[in-house]
Amino acid sequence: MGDQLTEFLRKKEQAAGPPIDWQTKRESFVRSVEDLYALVKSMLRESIASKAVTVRTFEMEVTEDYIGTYAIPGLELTIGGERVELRPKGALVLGAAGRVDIRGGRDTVTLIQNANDEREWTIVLQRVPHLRTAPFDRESLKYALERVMLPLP
Amino acid sequence: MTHSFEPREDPDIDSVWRWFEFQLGLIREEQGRILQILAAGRDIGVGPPVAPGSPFIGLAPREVEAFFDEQAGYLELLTMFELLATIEAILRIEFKARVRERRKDDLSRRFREAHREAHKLRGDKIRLDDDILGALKRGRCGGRRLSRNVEPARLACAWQALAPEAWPGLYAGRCTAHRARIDRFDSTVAMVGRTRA
Repeated sequence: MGDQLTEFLRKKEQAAGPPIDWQTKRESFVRSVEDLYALVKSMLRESIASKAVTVRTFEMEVTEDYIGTYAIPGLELTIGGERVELRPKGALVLGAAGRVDIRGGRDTVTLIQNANDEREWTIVLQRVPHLRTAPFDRESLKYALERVMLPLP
Repeated sequence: MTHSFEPREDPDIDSVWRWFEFQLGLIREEQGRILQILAAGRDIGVGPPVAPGSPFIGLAPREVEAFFDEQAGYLELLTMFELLATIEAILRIEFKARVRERRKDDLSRRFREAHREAHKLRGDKIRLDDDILGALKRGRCGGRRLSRNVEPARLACAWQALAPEAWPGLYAGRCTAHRARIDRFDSTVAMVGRTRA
């Protein structure tokens, strides 16, 4: 019986694989989020210049299993009195390297960071019955803003 | 093979419960598989892959749990309706049998009386609440007279009798006075069990 217990624990330990460096993972996620905000700002460059959009970063906290609580910037877009926030959800998500939610007055749209190329972000167009995504670019940013913001009168 | 949710001559509450347990097992198994991917010691980004197109991609552990809890909740709701429908079918079959066979026990007499009254008012249409449960209400259950909320209590009573392993709380209208096993019920409730046998 004792041997079986030892064997079971050994197998569990082996199955766990090498330990993950959660601190590196967290730092990498924070950097990726900052890069994402730079990308968003560049996409909105003309609108920011014409003051149609105001951009502000703010500090927020995220708490995740294994990683703990950490500070990370959020991005606030103000468009004609309406606010849209990009809020990091975390690095510990399924099948992706991280996630940021675009949250507006009407809805929330999810951005996921590509697991294989962490510079790439993808927007979730539809989750069920099957996941449909699109690369994050100016076109999909427009789609996201249309979805999360209140409809035009 | 008779499938769940099909009309049948011999309604069987056990098969509904087995179906529920099987479906719930599948939900929890898939939940475990998905959450294992997020477990410590695995590199989530490149670890055991989530199928491309999986609706779980991008979800955090709490969201995965909430998703599966919601699925289990819908399953419980669906099962509750199926159980109610099955119990109603059992009661209706028993009602008809007791009226037709003209048994001499008190419950059969009450059923026949209810049948006569219903026939005068509505022809052959027997109502579960007014006629069947009404006749049951006029009797006693477990030695106590039920004062209020009797219909759900009766059905819950029968449910408890037939599936004593049922999850507590699955049935919000459960009659707490009648949690005992089937051999402690009077004929009113025990009859449901006999129909099943």
